[in-house]
Amino acid sequence: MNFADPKFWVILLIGITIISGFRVWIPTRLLENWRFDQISLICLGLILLGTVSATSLFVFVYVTCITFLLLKLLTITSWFHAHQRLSISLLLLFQLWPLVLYKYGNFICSDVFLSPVSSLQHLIIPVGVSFYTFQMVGFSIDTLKRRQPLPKWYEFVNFAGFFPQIVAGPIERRDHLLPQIINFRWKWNAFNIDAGFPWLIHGLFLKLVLADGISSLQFADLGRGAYAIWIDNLAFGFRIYFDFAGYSFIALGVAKMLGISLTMNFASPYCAWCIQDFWRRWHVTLSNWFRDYVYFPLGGSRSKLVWVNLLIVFVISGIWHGAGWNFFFWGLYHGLLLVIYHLVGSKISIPKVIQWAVTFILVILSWEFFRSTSLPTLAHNLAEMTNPSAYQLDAIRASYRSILRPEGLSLMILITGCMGVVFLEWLSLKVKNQHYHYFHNNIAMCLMILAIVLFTPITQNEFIYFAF
Amino acid sequence: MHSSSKQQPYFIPRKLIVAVAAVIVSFGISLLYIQYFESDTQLWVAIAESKSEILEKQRANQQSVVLVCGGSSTSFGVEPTKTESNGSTILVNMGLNAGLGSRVLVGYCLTNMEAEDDLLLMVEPGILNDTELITAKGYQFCFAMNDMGLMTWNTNPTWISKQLAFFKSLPYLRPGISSVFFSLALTLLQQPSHYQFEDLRHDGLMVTDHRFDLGDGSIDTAQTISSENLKLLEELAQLLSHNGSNATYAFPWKLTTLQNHKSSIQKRHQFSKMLPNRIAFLFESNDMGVKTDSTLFGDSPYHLTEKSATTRSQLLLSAYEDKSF
Repeated sequence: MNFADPKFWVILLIGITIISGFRVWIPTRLLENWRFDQISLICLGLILLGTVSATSLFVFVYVTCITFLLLKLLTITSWFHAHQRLSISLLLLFQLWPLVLYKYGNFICSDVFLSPVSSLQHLIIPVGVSFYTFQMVGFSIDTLKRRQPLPKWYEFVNFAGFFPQIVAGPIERRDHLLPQIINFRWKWNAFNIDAGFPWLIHGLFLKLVLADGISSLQFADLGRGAYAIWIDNLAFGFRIYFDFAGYSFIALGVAKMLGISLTMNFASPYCAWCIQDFWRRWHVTLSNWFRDYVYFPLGGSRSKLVWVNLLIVFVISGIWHGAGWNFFFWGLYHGLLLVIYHLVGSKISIPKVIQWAVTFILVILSWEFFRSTSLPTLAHNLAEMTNPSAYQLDAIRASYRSILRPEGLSLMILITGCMGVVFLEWLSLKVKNQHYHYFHNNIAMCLMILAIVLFTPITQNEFIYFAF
Repeated sequence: MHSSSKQQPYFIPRKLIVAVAAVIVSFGISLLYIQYFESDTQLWVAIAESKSEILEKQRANQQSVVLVCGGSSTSFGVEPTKTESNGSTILVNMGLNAGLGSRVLVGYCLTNMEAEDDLLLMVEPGILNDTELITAKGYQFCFAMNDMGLMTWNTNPTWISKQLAFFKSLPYLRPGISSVFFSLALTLLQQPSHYQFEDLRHDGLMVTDHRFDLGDGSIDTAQTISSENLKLLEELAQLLSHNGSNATYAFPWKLTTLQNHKSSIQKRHQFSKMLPNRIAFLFESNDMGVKTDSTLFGDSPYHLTEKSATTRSQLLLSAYEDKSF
């Protein structure tokens, strides 16, 4: 289910046309009896997921069925009330094992226990498994802890597999998404379409023009010095943001057109003025998930081990992003930044623009952990970036020469464009106090469409977060 | 559904209308860009048009014309060469750029062929190993040449087939970010494109003064022809035999290291065995065009120098003469 793949849109349009045909030609009362809106939404979602891969479909169906059946069992038996912790643990075990097997099996055997298993090496991670598993885990905990009633099976399947957000989030919560799913009806609503369309175009622009554009220009050999590494990290930082935010906005837009409001997963994260602010703006639903289901149960900020808890949460968050030591260190780095910020940074008074610059530089540095999957490369690049002698005049000259070649300059022009986009995000907040305001008027929409048509690379790129 | 109580209900989504209009205008701008500003397409269209004119000039007073079809290895590797015995056969360089795709390269020659002309294919093995027969650049080239027959091989297309071909190519008739930004960067740096129209000699051979360190030479490892290209070659052979023309295949010369020399020759042997029966293989020498002398090459392991292009063309023609059809 790749929003950048025209096949997705063709199948979606065909599906919606067929569904609309039923809605027009078959009496509403009959359709209500068949639970037509809910069942057709499930079918469309499963077909779209099935076009990605049979494994992805199978794993999703397994996690959904096992979650619903076990929840049903636990809510009707008195055993649960007597053994609440044990039953939640058992449920989590059944829910999480596909995620652990497919995503971490090879890493655990090869890198942790140093005994590779050949059958695990070739496993392909089912699309969206990290997202919908977490959504269902959250749902299960909310349902059991708050003793909320279970929805009907078809409502639950639609909650777990609402097609715009199934493969890369946002990770929705029961309270927010389930009531909307229960009330969902296929209905032509021009207002909803107008509300969702700018988000869709905005998302496509971020993904196809900026993220894929960087990906197609990033082959430029800018040398191996510290400056080149910083430029590579900057380009990667923009790429991953525009890629993931692009997906999230497309999901948001499609859902809005269907009358469902999803949580905004990104809120101009590169405008953050401290690292804590960054995590309130980056992958918001995942941060909230970890806060509510890991950080708070560990004791939260009232615990004596608050800094340790914070580090634990960020290390787990790092590992959630990928099975590799580099992701472990990425999480640890962010955890440490937050601890340092709470201990020192929040007490120092410095101008906001400097706070922003420091945060931006620290975040760009963090992408080195994310993109260097080999530890020796990571160590080499970090050593280079932190070595003062790597920033001497000769290095500046060499870097300048690399940039002043057509490949280097093309990339720098695009990076400048990306900075412009971030500036517009900041301006939207500053002037209108609304995220992404300036991207959603008619003129901006037309310009983004022009850019999509002209600049989208001919070869297609998958969304980076599909791998997570 | 979200409440829209404060809004007056309306049926037609306004943003959608704006977006549809914007898409149409954007594609119009994109087509204009491809037609008039896309530097690669402009270059190869100008070269193709020149080569067609050169062919017409060469054709005069010749009994038999052999069109040499291929990518830049042909463009930089073959000069018009007449037979020594009676001067009645002439090799004409119709090479363009391998990046257009095999179907377009061959289509360009087919539209320029006349009855009794022969075709000598010198398409790079890597291109014949590719599953994609027309690249985005190929679609753009056909559009800018205003001749969709280059990809359909239909020399007499109907209006409907033209429209179908156009709509099929529409997704590719966009420059893409690298092309636009690269051109912009070249302009800012006041640098010319790597290949220029001025590189085209008056007789159709391309020459360049650029010299690069060619390193280990070509790493082309194709030893098979893709099923898509096999089908294309079969179709070509059938079309040519229907017109009474002959089709031949010769390897372009390529540079390799001494170490890889033997394996490269073996790969080319394997490759030659896959050619359809109706396309004769032109055996020129035991090395199958795999060379280790870097002085024969210019700016790429496939691009010959002007001098070696002369040598190569003579060898090619004498091998062609030896082949009895």
